[in-house]
Amino acid sequence: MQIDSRLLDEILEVVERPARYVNGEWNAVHKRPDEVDVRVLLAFPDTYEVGMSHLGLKILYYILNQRDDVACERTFMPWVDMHAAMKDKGIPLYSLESRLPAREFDILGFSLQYELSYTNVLAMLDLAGIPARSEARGADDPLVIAGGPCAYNPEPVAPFFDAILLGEGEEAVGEIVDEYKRARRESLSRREMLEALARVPGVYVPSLYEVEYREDGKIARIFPTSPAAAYPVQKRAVRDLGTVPFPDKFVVPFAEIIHDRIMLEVFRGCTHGCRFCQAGMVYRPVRERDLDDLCELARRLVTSTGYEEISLMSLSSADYSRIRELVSNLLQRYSGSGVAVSLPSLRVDSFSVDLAKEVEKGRKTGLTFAPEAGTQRLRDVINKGVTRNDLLEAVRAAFAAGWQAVKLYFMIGLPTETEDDLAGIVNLAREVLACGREELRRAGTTRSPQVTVSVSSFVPKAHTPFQWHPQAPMEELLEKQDYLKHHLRGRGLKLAWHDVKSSFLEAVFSRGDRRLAAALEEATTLGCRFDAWHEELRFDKWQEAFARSRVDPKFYANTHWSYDDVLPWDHLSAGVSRDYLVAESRRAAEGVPTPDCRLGKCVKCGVCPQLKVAPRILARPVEGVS
Amino acid sequence: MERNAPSSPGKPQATCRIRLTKTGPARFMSHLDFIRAVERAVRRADLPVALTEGFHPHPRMSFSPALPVGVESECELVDVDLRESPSVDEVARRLGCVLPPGMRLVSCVVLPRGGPSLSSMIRAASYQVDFARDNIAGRPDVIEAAIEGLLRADAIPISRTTPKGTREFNLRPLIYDLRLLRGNGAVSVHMLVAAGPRGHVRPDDVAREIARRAGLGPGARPARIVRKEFYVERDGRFRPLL
Repeated sequence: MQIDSRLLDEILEVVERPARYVNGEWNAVHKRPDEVDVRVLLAFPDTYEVGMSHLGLKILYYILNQRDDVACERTFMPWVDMHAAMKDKGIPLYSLESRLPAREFDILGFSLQYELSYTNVLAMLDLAGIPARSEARGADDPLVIAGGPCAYNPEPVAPFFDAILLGEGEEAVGEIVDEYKRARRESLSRREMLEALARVPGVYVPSLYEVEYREDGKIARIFPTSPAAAYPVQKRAVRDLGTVPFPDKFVVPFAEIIHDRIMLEVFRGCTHGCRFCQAGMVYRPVRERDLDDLCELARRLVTSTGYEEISLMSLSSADYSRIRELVSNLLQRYSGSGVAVSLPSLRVDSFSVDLAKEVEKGRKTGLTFAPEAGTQRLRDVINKGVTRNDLLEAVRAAFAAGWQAVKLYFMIGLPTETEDDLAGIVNLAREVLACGREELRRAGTTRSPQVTVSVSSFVPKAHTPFQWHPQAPMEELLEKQDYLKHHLRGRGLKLAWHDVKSSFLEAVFSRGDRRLAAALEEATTLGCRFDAWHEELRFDKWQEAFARSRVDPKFYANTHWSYDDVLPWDHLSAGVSRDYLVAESRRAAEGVPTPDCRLGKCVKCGVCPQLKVAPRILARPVEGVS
Repeated sequence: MERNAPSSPGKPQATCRIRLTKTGPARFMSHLDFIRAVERAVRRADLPVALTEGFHPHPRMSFSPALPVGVESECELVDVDLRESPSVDEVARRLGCVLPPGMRLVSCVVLPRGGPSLSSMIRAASYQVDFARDNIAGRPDVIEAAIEGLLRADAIPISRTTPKGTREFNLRPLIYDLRLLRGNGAVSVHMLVAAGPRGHVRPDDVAREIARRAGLGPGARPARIVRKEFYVERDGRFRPLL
């Protein structure tokens, strides 16, 4: 049964940006939901503009809809005004394609990209009329599953999901659908179905594990309660990206989205090994796509979407071993037809600046570099293999090439940070500015350089060498921000910072356990949603929610955990071994960097033997030649 | 593979004037969204579009005046400059199959270069306003009286609030015609109002004014509005542009 379209259309006349709530975008897939075996609804717990910018959603939408027995549709968290209007008129969460209520789908798949979207998950389940807790759902309710980076510690939301996929979905998603079909064909009970799903490699079924706590609040043990439940659950990784489908069609939205362009994933994984970076750990090993495949995909996507920009996506696109060839190939083919090429992530070196120069041509809006820390000592601690010289060389090249605005990303509150490191941020920013003045003067322009320093607060993440580290208390982070605000003043300097409250919440949930589920429910009841949106975050409500559910958020965010502690995610494996994380954590304390495994020497992180997947690098880099 | 130098976007040889609908889901697109959607459709159609000069060339196109979000149209006009002079059939065939739902190709003509631009030609636009039946069931006379009142008025002060503040202006001289359309029990108003350089009327302003005079409360369901036609002025008369 479709929802009341007339009622919906009336609401659409009055809400902000109604184009995000209607169907019929170019390349959207329309099937008859009553003519397929399995209806899957991909649910993104943020706005349409954010969710539609996410590559993973596009990939799964494409792969699932390639199957004749599946209809895969999409839904997003309605913005505040739409949410209120839908509640008011009794319109449930619905799919864009068929305007079918979410609860009439067989499987709801949530994408968990960041912790601050958790309240939106609950708000969406509430709007759908689906019980929030897995244990409260019955045979008539959809299977509610999740995936995405938060799956590496999904414990705060574990009670809400029937199953959670760890790692890459290209292959696993089909296996989940097959298992679901089989379970239904054999009329298995809900519990039996969950056990069947738990046998799919990479699938974590939270209800098949129990957690025991110690008197001091730490975890005593986590153990499976069913023979179907693996311990640990091992993440999925695709051996060769060339063998799994990548969409040759993207849905082209009616309304502008955040990344409104072709996203071409050039490789997956990252070899730099920055110790704070979860993506760098969990997406290992690095796997590059073939150059010819990428060119062919670009061609098909330009034809099928009509987009005017191709963005070369990955954690560090300049690392792609055939990046030069790729860029020049694409530029040669498209620059005459008004299709631009862009590189969203730049390394701190002049090679990257050269690449940017090649693709950006006259745009020159601004370049962003991420030295992350202000001193060499701290950069060694976090294993950010960037020196002051690298940075100055890169920005010199940028200013010389005609850029006048440079943005520098730093983190504050990193393990072992002292005031020297903050002073280091100030000094580096000033040096970059001076360098800009010099280069622009040399170029004979009267324009003056602009240096924006953007500081975020360190958030400890699961499966990283810093997972045992606390986040600095909010007061301390505020003091550090004040220090920078005080010292980074003057012509040509700008400072941008993140709200410490949202960083605190992120830390609470990134290291959280199942006891936080109650706090999430309380917060949602109190009206928290869109916590990642600065103007929507209601920290007072959050404090009330923690108090009501009797959990101490500081226990999660601000406590140092020891190597002996059982961590909330100890039953989940991203492939990187615990021994490696401990060793890296110790090297961090000693300030010893670990080299990039791309350079040929294995760092023994354990991923390749564990997952039986090898790094796939098209061409070995030659030192000193780029 | 043929190599196109980035600095040679190609001299326009012809202009293709296309008429599109903007109905159904497409009515919720903003004007900017609509421009992007047409640019992308033109690229999917692989038409030999002429590009603008500069580092970031984009298709050379111009559009009829913006439509308020939510208002439908049967007559959005777009001039697309082309590097070659393809046949009208060719353009229609290629473009016709790459438009999203709600955007339908109504007609298209190929014009020689150098003709007057859309913005310099357009003088008026017509709209049809359908009032929701349950608001005024069986009482078209109320609407008719409101229309007559509007046409008799010397001045119709309207205030428009923009981010820059509230502006007052007189709507009356910009309204050229208002007529009640009867049939099928629906109550609709046909309006012909100024569009283009001499003044531009938002159809929802007029619809609201009619609703207000007809005594429909602010809670009444909004009217459905469709832009029907653009007009040029020739020999003192309005004639359809395309």
